[in-house]
Amino acid sequence: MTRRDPPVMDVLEQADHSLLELVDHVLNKGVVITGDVTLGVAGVDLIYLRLSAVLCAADRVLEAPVPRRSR
Amino acid sequence: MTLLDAYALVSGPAVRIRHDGVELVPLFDDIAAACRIVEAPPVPDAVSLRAHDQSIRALDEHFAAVLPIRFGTVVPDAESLRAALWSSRDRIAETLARVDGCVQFTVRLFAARPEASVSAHDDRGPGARYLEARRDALATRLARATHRLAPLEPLRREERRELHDVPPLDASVYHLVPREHVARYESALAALVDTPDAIRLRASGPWPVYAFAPREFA
Repeated sequence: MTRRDPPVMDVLEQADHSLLELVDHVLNKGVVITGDVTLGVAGVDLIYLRLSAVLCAADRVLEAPVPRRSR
Repeated sequence: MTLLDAYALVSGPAVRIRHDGVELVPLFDDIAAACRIVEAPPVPDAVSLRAHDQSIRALDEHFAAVLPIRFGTVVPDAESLRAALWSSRDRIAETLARVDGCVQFTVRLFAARPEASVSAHDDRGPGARYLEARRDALATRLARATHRLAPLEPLRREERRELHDVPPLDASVYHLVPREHVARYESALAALVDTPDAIRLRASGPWPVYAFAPREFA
């Protein structure tokens, strides 16, 4: 992985550090395969989970921090 | 009884991977599905979700094009998976070609909602005026997002947008970025985030190309 400049590190949220971002990407996106394929998640309705994940992300995504003025 | 937990579609020369229980299931042509043998569907906790994401990222070391499959997709066996995807093979191949060599960045836009102003001095009925005002407000949201992210346009191959109904989160924008542009994209994005504006930005990435997988393969 290429080393990032400090300004990039400051503003680009690390993908593996944000559970909310992870939930939104992994549970809400990606190829959906239908047909004789079970969309099972330990017996829980995946549609319910997806809605919960979207609601959670929509409600709780933090506002972006106030940008620092560079001198 | 064991199941196959399918987590990505990949294209490229057949590669034998033995990494943390990964099984490559050949589908058609040079397209395969990366799967894991499990005894039960996965539980969506933080550990499993991170492991799912990391497994997809690990495939980048071996394949130029990787399409994430939604978490929790399990099949009885390889034959079931082939049968489910057979009719979509051309679309899968086309999608893999589109995302070849790319990663995804996600930009969240935070802004106040533009008000839908309804003119009282109009011959049209109240319903028509209301809908037109809503349409104009939507157009404003789309136009200001385009303007705010304009510096990134030359560096990305594709863009997908989602508008949200819960303020202050206004929109989510997903960019498909060729790997050779990632450094410049990150610098341009950092400059954008750091620029004071009525539309605040929060960005993450690079991700696997989650948002550029088709909604459904049947």
